[in-house]
Amino acid sequence: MKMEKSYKNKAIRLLFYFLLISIGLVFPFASSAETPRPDTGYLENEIMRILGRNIKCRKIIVQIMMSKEKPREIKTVAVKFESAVLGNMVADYMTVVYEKPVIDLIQLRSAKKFKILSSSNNKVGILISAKAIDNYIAAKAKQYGNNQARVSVRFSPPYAECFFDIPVSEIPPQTLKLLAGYVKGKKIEGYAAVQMSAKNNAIGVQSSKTIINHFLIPGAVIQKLQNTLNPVDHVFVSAPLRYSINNVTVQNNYLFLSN
Amino acid sequence: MFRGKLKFLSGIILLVIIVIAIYVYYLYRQGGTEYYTPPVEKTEAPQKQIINDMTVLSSAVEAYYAKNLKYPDKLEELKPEFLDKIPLEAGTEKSFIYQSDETNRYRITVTDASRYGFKELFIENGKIIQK
Repeated sequence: MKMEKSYKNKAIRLLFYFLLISIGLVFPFASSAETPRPDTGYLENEIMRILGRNIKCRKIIVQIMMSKEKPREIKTVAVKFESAVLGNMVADYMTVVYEKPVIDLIQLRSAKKFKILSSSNNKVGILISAKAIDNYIAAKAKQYGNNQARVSVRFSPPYAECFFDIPVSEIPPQTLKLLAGYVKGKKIEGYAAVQMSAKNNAIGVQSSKTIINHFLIPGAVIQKLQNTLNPVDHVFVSAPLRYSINNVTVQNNYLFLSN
Repeated sequence: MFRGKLKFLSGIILLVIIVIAIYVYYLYRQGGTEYYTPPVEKTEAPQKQIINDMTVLSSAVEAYYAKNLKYPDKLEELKPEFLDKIPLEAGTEKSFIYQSDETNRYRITVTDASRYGFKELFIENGKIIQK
């Protein structure tokens, strides 16, 4: 009987030690894991709500990672927008990541404004599909009263292929002057394979092949056209997020803009 | 003498007209819808090609992050949305070494940097390191 009791005590003691060791082992790992901490949830929701008011989009995801070395320091803030409206363009995805950001919490709480006071680095990536570009061009043409212009884009990395059919009356006189020898009839119809570049949000195109009304356009004319048309557009910068696009790559399904 | 010069001059003019006509015909021939294709990319020297390929891969990894808020586990995940095919190391046709911790860091390395005249050659978080 005594023997049985001592075995029972031993087993309980062993179980207690085992639990103690397990807790000691599990908790340090849990606290060093880089998953978002529960207290970041409030901040994430607040940023999401404020940005949602400033930038029209279908969905926003805010992800805050805390530093494992300094528990009070934010390691990264990543914000992803789906179908974000940037001026007249609807970007399929836009992601902005701030490293070691200092967020103006007073502005965030009182004025409901998202402001990054400083960050060690930031990264922006904007993905735009060919369909979004087609819609953008159509909307822009309509804005200038050009209702007959037909332009469509296809991605063939590293080129963006452009198919166009534009009435002569809707082409700016300066461009028309350069193409005078190739304009037969009332429209210019053709094809261009272009590579793209960006600097400080200004988008430029370099054509490797342009065909207008069944004529391959010589390099010298293309050069003059590029000098006239570039930069072809500017990337819209959403107010609370500051970024500068300096890279453009053509990928299978998207035009990828990054800093 | 004068007639000879005139003949020579008209010969030159005729030649210029013929050259221009051939050039215009060439531009016209190259303008058919069957030529609505992008130019064929030139093959670069392995040292330049490998850097081009690594840059293309890195850009696709960054684009994957922009869409998914995480880096891919392996490069194959970039197909077909961002890349048609995953490039192999120029000259050796080996796969690039890809490492990622999903959220903060990724690195694309060549198996043997010395083959391309470098001590080290890799791209980490979009930054190319060549020593």
